[in-house]
Amino acid sequence: MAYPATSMVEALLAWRNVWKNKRRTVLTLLTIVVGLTVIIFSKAIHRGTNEQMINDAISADTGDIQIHEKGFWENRSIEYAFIPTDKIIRALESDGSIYAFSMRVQASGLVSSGDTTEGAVIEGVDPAAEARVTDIHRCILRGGRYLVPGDRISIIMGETMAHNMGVKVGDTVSMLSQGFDGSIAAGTFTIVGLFRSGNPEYDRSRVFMPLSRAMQTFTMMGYVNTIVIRLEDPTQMGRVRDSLMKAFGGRGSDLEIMGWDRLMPEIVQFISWQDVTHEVLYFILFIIVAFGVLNTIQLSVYERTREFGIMLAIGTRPAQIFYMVLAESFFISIAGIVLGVLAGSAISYYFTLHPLDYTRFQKEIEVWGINRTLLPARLELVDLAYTSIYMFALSLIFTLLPAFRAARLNPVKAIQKL
Amino acid sequence: MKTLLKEIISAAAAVVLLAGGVFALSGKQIIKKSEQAVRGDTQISLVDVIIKTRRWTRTLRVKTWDNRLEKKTFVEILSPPKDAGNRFLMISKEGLMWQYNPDIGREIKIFPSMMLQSWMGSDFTNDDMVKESSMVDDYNQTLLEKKDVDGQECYVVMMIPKPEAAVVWGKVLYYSRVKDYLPVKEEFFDQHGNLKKVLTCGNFREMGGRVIPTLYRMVTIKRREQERSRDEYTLMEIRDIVFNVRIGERIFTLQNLRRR
Repeated sequence: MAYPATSMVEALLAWRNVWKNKRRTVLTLLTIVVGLTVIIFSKAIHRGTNEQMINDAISADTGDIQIHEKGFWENRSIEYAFIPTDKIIRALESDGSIYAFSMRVQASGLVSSGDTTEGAVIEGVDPAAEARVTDIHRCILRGGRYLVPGDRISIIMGETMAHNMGVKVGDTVSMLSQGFDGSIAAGTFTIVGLFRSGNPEYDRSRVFMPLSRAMQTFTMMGYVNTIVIRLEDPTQMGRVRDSLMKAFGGRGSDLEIMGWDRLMPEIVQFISWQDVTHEVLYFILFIIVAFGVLNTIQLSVYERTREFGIMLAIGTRPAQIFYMVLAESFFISIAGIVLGVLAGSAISYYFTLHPLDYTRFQKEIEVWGINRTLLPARLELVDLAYTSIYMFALSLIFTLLPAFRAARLNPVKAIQKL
Repeated sequence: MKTLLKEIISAAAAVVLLAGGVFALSGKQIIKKSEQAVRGDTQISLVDVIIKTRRWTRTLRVKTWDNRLEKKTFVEILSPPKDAGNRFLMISKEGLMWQYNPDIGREIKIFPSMMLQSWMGSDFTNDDMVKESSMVDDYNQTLLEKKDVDGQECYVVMMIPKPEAAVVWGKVLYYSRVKDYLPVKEEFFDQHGNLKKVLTCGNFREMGGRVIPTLYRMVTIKRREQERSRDEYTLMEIRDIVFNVRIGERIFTLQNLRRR
């Protein structure tokens, strides 16, 4: 490209060529537009599903970050407990990234009514704080209520568990477990509400009781098992966790501070498995589009063999031919990417406003702990950018070969061709 | 092919049996004699259970009524006051166990699947307390060797649970004194051959008309390295025991469980 003026000529020629054979152009364009639209849309759906799944799991029970005594998460035993010191509470309260936090006592025990006994995970929660951290209060079935501050002998119970025990709101159940000090923890409680969280395990085994009562029943002596933290912005999890770790979880500390990724490794695994399958899908789509571009450009070069022969015969340099073909592809790609991004974004946005409805598959996806059946698409700028850049690079790379062939034509033979 | 395999197995089994025959007694006989030495057809005992964890040490005084023939057990906690009045009734043949708790004023049915959970936060399981499973009937015993344990000559009997037995262990090594068959140590292994719990028996002395170990110490082997150093165990000390007295049928009833 020694002479800029000349390169303008090539670009102009290319521009005209693009419009000269509209059918050819439209064919190439469509390949890019459709490919790009599909990739952008499927990325948006994928991202939306993942975020929804993580968010559901976080808001169902786990929270963004949890603090326990070391060993609790592995053993899930009430004996792993710590004192929520003023220092910890103050640090949590003064951190602007923390939306809310809630202290819990967690014990496994037996819940019994009449002749039936069920194994249960009993959680003592502060109703007000817990409602800011998790969503269980939104899952209460009609005819019942969530715990309220001041409750003493009230509990709420999973729907499946109540069904298995044959109890309903208003019934009395007995609970038998073991206290923090090893003593027998027992009590009689009234069911004030049932919940359907959508997570089969919770619905089958969770019982919530007021924290104040749990502290007493389980002889906690000021200890708690868990502090659950909810952040203003979930993406800040790593930073907040690390700063808490630095402050309270260092060497010699008895505390473990875990982000949702460590609390729910199965979700992380599921997502990374999904990521791999999606990457394979994108790769295939990209390759299809790339070969589509190669095919149509190749064809268009072949159709114009005579034309190129004449151009070469009247003194056009092979390099100019090469750049001209490349420029044609450049124009088409740019147009295709703009249209593809618009179409992909439009479809994604539609599915953001009107989420995919998986109600029909509720039973199947509950297995994954997803309790919502509406999965909105989620489009991120970074996905648009990467997809566009890949697409652009690929279509130019796959034009190189036909462009090179056009440049290498023998003018005499080429002119003879019809 | 199958018959050949069978022949090889039975031949191997014969060799093992013959090797076992070098000792006068079979593993099964040793375990039977050992059980008979420690237990009677019936027994009533007063036991202190001392649970030591990293945070606290608790002493429970417990009274048990045990009818080995009918496989019925009744346990009552006498102290401390906080836990006193909790009673357990186990009728093995029917696979039933109840716990009565005075705070809720009623009994709760405990399922067989819960038998293997910790009893009162101790290193013993519910099953250990009521001895539902039988060292004699639920295992296949093989006498391995004689070995010195703390200066006492012991038989070492390997016990592998029978497939249908409701036992968590993959293997139990039972050390029993040669001179009187009394147990000295039991080692409990999981299915992968990892040592999980060790029971040591001590304070051999005369009680209830016979010499028995009166102090049992159960230690759970910690999985996590950093918890190994913790000194956690459960002691069971027999304070008093009587063997082979008639125990009235009304002991093993729900009425007795619920009595005020």
